[in-house]
Amino acid sequence: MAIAQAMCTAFKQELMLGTHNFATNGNAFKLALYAEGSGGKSSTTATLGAATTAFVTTGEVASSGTYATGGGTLTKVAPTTSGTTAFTDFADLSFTTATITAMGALIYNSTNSNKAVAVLDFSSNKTSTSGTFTIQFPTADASNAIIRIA
Amino acid sequence: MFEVNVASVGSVNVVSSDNGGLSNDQIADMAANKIMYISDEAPEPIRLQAEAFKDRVRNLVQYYVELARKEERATICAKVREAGQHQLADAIRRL
Repeated sequence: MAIAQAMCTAFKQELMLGTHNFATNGNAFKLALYAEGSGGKSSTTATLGAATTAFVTTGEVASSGTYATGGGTLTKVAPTTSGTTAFTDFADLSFTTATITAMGALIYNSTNSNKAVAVLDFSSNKTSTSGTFTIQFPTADASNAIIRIA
Repeated sequence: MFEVNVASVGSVNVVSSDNGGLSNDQIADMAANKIMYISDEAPEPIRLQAEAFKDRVRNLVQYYVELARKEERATICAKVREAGQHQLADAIRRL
């Protein structure tokens, strides 16, 4: 599969190096949308997974409506803990009046050289036509939050 | 030795629409999903009870989303009518 959900391996290393700061006044993180195969708007296929180290333009969906190439800026929720698990969250992200077909997304740190954080696999092509394309993040708890370290 | 057992990524939900914004139902579903998560592994009696409660929460949210949109349209309609755009005000009212 060309887009495989994963926490990027380089991100795990960079956590230990103090590269990423998820505090609300910390680094800026963005989410870019990607197409896979002929289902997407892009003529190229994205290859994203655990080995992804930084934001790439290959396979990214084209600008449409409020979606501009490079993706949308995520609103962070400060990291917290529950039991022995630490987790962080983002506010849902919407692109309006947009014609988009996307198979997955990449969260990346736009403050620090666009270093990759995580790859999201939507499982199938998700489409909006002159409409709203919303990415709803999971419940922010120890079992479901978007980024968890147990 | 310290060991980090799991570093994982949660699953996102993508909600989209065509020729306009999200519907009341879609927004109510999103809100209910945020308010309550029901584990697939929960014992069946608890899961069923939780699902019933989640359904009630969803319906309540759906009602108020619909009301909020209706009231917002009424305000916009009044402002547009005040500005002398009666036809546009009527078109907004009929949405």
